[in-house]
Amino acid sequence: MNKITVTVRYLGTFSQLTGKREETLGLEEGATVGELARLLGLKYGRELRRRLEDGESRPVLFIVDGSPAPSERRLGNGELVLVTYPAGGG
Amino acid sequence: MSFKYGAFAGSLLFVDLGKGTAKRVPLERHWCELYLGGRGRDARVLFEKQDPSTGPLDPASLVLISTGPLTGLLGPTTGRLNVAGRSPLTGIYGNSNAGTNFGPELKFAGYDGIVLTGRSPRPVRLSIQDDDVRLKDASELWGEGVFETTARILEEEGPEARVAAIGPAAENGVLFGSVIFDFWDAAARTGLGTVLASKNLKAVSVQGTGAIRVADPKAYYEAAREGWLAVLEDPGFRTGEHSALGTSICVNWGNAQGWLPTRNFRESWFEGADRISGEEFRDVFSTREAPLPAGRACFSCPNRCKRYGRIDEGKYAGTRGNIEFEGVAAFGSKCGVDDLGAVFHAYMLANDYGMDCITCGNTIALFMECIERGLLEDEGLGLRFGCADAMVEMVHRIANREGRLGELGSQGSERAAAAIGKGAEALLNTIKGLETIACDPRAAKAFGFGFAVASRGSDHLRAHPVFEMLRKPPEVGRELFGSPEAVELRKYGGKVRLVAWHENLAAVTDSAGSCRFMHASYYAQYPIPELMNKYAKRKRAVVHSIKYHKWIEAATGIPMSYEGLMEFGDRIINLERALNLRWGLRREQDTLPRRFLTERIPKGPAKGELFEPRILEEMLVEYYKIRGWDPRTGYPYEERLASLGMEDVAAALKERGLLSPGGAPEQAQPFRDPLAHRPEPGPGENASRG
Repeated sequence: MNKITVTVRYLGTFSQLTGKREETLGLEEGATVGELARLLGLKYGRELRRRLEDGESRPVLFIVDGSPAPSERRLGNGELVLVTYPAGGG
Repeated sequence: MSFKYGAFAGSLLFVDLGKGTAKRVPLERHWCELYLGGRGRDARVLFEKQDPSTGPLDPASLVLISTGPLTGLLGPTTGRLNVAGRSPLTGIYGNSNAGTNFGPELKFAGYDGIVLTGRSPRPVRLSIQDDDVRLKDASELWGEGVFETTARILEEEGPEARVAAIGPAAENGVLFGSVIFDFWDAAARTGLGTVLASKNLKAVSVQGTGAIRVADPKAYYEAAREGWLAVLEDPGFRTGEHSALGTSICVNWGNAQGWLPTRNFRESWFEGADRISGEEFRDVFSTREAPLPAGRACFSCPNRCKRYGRIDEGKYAGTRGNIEFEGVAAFGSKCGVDDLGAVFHAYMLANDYGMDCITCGNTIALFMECIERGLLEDEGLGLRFGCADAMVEMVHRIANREGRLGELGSQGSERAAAAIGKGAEALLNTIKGLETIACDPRAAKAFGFGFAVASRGSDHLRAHPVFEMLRKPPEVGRELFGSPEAVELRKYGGKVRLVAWHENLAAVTDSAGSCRFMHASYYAQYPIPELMNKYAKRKRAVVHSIKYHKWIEAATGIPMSYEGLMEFGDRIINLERALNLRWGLRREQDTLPRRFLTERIPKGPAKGELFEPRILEEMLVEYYKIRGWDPRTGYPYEERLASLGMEDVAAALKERGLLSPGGAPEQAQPFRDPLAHRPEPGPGENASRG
């Protein structure tokens, strides 16, 4: 399988949980947003997995190309993915 | 002192600075029964006691610093207070709400609020220690910054005192002077610090040792406990986002959604957003060390949305303080500046000078665009979008009214644009004279509509309709606001009802003394948790919600239902409309700036968006119908005011030809309790809710 790379930018709480603002990850060609989420859950452990699966908090958004992407959305090589909660209050 | 209702201290402190007198005046019962306290009572006191012809800076004008019945009580977010008066910037109702420890202390001292009038012959400060009220000489403090002033008063009064102070900008006549509480907490919008400066009042300190009694302690405990549980269960609170980064969480989030104002609202996506973000502030400037932890909270607040930091090295070394999203966007993306050190420094300068950072930053951004278009000389500053040094220098010049740019800037962007001429008005983002906050109304339709109708001018906090940003289930939008589009940021459906509902709640909580974030950022208030649970995949057996009606009733003894709560909000907004009409506001000022109606967003996630003028007009007509205002003139209908118990307000408007006779042809009743048990509809009746 060919590989692609995506840049993942962690906003807010997710930058706290991962200890990173941004990283580049290699994925199989054709990988989806859902598969990226599973990879992040494995990489960063229980607390991040809980957040991703938790129906008690706001839904975690994976924003690609300016819009929240559904889990089946395929990722392209070089795309930027923002991982964030919807927020408000300024 | 006994007062019929619980939770109130029972009196206001009236201070005449011209005469040097202070007297305790008992609260009027009808103030509480119709307007609660805080923002609502302040509007009422202004309506009753300030002659409409009195100018904002006339000695006879009033400034009120007021708490609500919930201020200082056990319960979530009870540290809010309201500062009110006629705005010198806009000429209409000016007010600003701050989260503080000052408000509770004022209640403990035995006062629901302070009413200031007159002009002292020399600079003074007001010192309150329970019944001991004194005006003290402040000649040596005049000209000092807010931080130095506050520190020196604490030295004199003791570390337990709470302090409100103004800065040199207000003293110099900058029209958007702020009032800053306890170093960091700003009541800045609409320039009421400038009114205090015109009275030669530099500061107010307060210390109190009294208690506050509630009407029904057992019911109160249950209502407050329910409120705490609702906050802890709230899906937004559970994310921990505010506690992690404060409100600057909105820099990257707003950019991701395409509503972060950039380069004087020419754009709504900033390529440098991450460099001025809450994440960047945490990683570079935030500190866990003394004197304050990184995340600060107001009185009785679990949210800790205030972020404290400091700069230890470089040209801005020594800068320290508390940041919020609005100031960061005002000096950052709106000015095209991505140097967070410069933004933080400019923000703290504005606080120390005592100026509203939003008006200040927006005015600088306007000048940058005017200079780039050749409409204005830059006096050798190099003032262009992205130029951090010139942006910082402009803060000094505006505060000191230095040079033509400083003089123009000190009057706010609307007066400045009029003086610049040559079409500069087309670049404005003001509504009713007040600069627009950090959300592009083209990209967020409820926010945009809320700006157009907000009673203090372009402002997000009259409604704060964050609901449209949070990807709530569309069914909740349909049940509460009549359209599933209410949950979609770029759609118009349901947005009028959404704004009106949020406005009503905000008017109530501003008047009761609780924080906007519990019901318009988080959504912990009845009936949202119940409706969210109704449509959730995993349902809770027990749902908690903040029931403001029960909470306020238990605290005060004023009977209240959910619908009654909505009516309180409606009444307060109608009173603010009446005040504004008397001060010259007219229907045509309920609109958006030309840029938002004619220029499409050029790039970013909201590319191509506009606020459609035709739809805005339709929304206004629907809004007036909900409020009971004549869609032709924007004047309230006589019958509507009477139904709200505001006959005397109607009479005062009638005298001036500012009232529409009769009632609205079809009175909208959009805010019934959606979960109340009602009789089954009869045959042929529509089963859907009204």
